[in-house]
Amino acid sequence: MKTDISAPQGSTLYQRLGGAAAMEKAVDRFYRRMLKDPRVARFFEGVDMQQQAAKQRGFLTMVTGGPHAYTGKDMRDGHAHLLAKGLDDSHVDVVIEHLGAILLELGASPADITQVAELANSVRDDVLSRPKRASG
Amino acid sequence: MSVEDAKGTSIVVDDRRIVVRTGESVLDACERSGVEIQSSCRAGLCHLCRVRAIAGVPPPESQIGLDHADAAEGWFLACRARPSGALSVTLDGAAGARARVRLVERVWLAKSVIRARFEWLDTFPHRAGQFVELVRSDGLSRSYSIAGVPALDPYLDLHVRIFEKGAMSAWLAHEAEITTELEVRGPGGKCVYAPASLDQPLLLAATGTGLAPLIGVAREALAAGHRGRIVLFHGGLDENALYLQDVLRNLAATHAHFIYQPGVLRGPAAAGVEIGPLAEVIDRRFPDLEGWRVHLCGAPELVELLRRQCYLSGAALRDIVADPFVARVQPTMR
Repeated sequence: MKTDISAPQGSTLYQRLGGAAAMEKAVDRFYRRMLKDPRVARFFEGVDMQQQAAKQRGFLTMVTGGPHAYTGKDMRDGHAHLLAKGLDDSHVDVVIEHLGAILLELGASPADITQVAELANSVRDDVLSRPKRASG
Repeated sequence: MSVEDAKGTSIVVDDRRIVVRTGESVLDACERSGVEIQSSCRAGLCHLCRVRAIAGVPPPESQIGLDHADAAEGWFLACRARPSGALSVTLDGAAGARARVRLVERVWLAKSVIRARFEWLDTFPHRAGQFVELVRSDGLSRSYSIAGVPALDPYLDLHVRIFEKGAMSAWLAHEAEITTELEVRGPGGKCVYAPASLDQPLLLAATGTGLAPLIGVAREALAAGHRGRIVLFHGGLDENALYLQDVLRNLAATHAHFIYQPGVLRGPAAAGVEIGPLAEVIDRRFPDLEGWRVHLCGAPELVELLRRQCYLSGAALRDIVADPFVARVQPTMR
């Protein structure tokens, strides 16, 4: 379902998509895609679904430029236990792939998606517990 | 009890009058006034600052992300609420009401299930689908779901699964004298009838005495004039675990949009009873649940399995409400 999101310059994708209500819908679709994707589904085994959805709502809010409380430390702490299960760059790529797909569905533009992917990439080192490199 | 003026809006928080200044949230105003509310993200994400309106309507943006049942009960996020009208708020998160009840009847519904019927000596607000804690005079307590619909039934009916070594259930089944008085506390639970609209289809899936709250939800929905389909699955190990089949078949016979489907894990079973794992039966019959509201009550492992399955079948997470039943003793049979 495409939404017309011709909006004033300077507003965030978060605002243009429809704010918190849109995030609700986005998380529902995003999380479902992750659970159905055999490449990443195993990382979600035994996870409390509601808590997981709340975390993803925070993540999606952050990468779309909304008000968030996410920190690099959260990202590190939240994913550290998954490294032992084999979490690596390929899985971060899957996340970014699904993220782009659902944001397109919800009406984001290709330029928006590029920007979201950049933001998501900016936490890649935190997610994979690597030393933070200079960005750029 | 609210005054809107140039300075802001006056609200009542647990009997205290607090002015929410223009631009402030309820959370900001409470903190400024020395009323403590737990909080963290202040962005509507962590839900720590959940509070409940007991009068007035919370601003819609303060209920985004909450499930329908909570929103319908008046829960909202203090950090997202910028009220413009009358609002009375309670910070009392846990439902802590107490009432006295008297045991008036005990009926065996299945090989190991009784319906214990209590007369309310006093009462507190409660809804079909919720549970209460039953407290004996010596302090022994157990939680049971409310089987009735408060608006339709004068009594408190509980379906009690009897564990022969269960301190409360064996006592209720074999020893408790009719007219015994007990205390009930509560209510708790989110499994209440709170659809997005009267047309939203409802999937109700129960195992064992998880049937109790879901019969209540189904009857409340029918009484409310629900127009969407109401599908009730009741699963058990074998036919001994199924009960109230006649009542539910009658309900289905008189309401075209109410569907009752009993099922057993192991046969043999009578005609009309599905055989096989409940999750598989539901998946086969309802592979697409987009737009549905789902209520799940019963064995915790199955509830979690079904939660995931129903979500993957298209139900939105906020439309799936569940009440896993955790037994305090090992079941003698399942």
